[in-house]
Amino acid sequence: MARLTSLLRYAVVLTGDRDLAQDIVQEVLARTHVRWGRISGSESPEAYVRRMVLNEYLSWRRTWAVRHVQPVGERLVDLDDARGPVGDHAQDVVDADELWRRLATLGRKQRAVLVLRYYEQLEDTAIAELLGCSPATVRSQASKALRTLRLSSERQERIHAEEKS
Amino acid sequence: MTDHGEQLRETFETHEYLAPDPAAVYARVRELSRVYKRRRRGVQVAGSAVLGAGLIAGAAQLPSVLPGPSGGAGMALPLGAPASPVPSVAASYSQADLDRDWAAYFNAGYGYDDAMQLAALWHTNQNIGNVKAEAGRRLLAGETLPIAPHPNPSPSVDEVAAAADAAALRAFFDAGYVWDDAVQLATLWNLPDPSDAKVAAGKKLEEGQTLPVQPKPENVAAAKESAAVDKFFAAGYTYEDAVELAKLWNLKDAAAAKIAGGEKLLAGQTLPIQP
Repeated sequence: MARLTSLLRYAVVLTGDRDLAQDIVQEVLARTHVRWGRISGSESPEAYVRRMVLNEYLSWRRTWAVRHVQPVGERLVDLDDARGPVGDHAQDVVDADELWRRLATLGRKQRAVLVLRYYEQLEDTAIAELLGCSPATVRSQASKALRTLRLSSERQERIHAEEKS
Repeated sequence: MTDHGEQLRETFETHEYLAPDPAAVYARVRELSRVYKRRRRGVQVAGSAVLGAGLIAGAAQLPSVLPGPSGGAGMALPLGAPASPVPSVAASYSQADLDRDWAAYFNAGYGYDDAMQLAALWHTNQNIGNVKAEAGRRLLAGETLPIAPHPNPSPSVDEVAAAADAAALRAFFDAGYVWDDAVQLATLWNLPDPSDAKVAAGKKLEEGQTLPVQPKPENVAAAKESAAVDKFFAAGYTYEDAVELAKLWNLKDAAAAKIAGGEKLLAGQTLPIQP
């Protein structure tokens, strides 16, 4: 059960959505259950299943290219700026919630790269293997994702400035 | 790790609590996989003859948001439905559309297995979530789906059994047993499926019996930690509480505080802060 708990946490972090995480994990496990004999013989069944969850997430509703377009209203993510010089606990929590919302604006692959790099703590080469791309692409995706989180803020400030002028 | 990396890691960890209940998910997966196997076998054997003329008629008008057959490893049925047109409204679908369509689908009493059948009828290897949404969209448009709803295969009796299975599974995993142990137990007990061994073993553990296989100490430790963390969150505590407790107890991080706090709660103790 510890493994399943870990898998569900991974899925919810990856998807950003509890229901979607449940749907994906249930679907993946229902499939793995049917052919568990083969999967359990693999070098690392747990990694295999996590990879299935990742692939399921990346292909989920792919054709619809759904993006969560969020209104640009409040100050966006440059959390370094938002923080005081000393880590403030309450502010940390606010920042985490805010960043969680911002992550929903990323494309799936970019989000996956961030999750794999910072949550799963994988090296870029391992991420590249999982995603079927080159390490350079991983770095590029990560860079774009981080930039998107920051650029949103700059864009908003520009809009603000233009409105005031 | 960079500052950004640290912020992202914290953000991900603070939202782990959103994860669904593992025992319920596992019980549901077992149920689904059984039905999945059974229905797939039945559908493959019976083909269009069993599905009937009404289904074929229903399949004739293909989904507008689902792509046509791709020749991939989908749930293709031996039906002679025409190819799907290019999706016309795909790009305009939003999350709100999906939520609305999924709600319509489930509210009409359809379930996972129905979506599997619909996917086959519509010759799509799209994700089942897409199929559910397409079906919901049609229902909202006043259309009738080509199959009657089979609310997920759990009449009340099955739900009781599923709940009992979930409790047994929780007992099994909480004791530190894992899949490899279930494989051994299945062999010892002449059970064909290690999953059945998990349930049987869990029931024995619930009755206070001991099993002929002992869990590995590291798995026991991992299970205890997991149970403690679950207890911590179930009691209403949050990541920010864990951060506060870590400071109070001089622990290295919030994760350690979640475990320590959960262990105290499991032992019937109270924590120095309220959730």
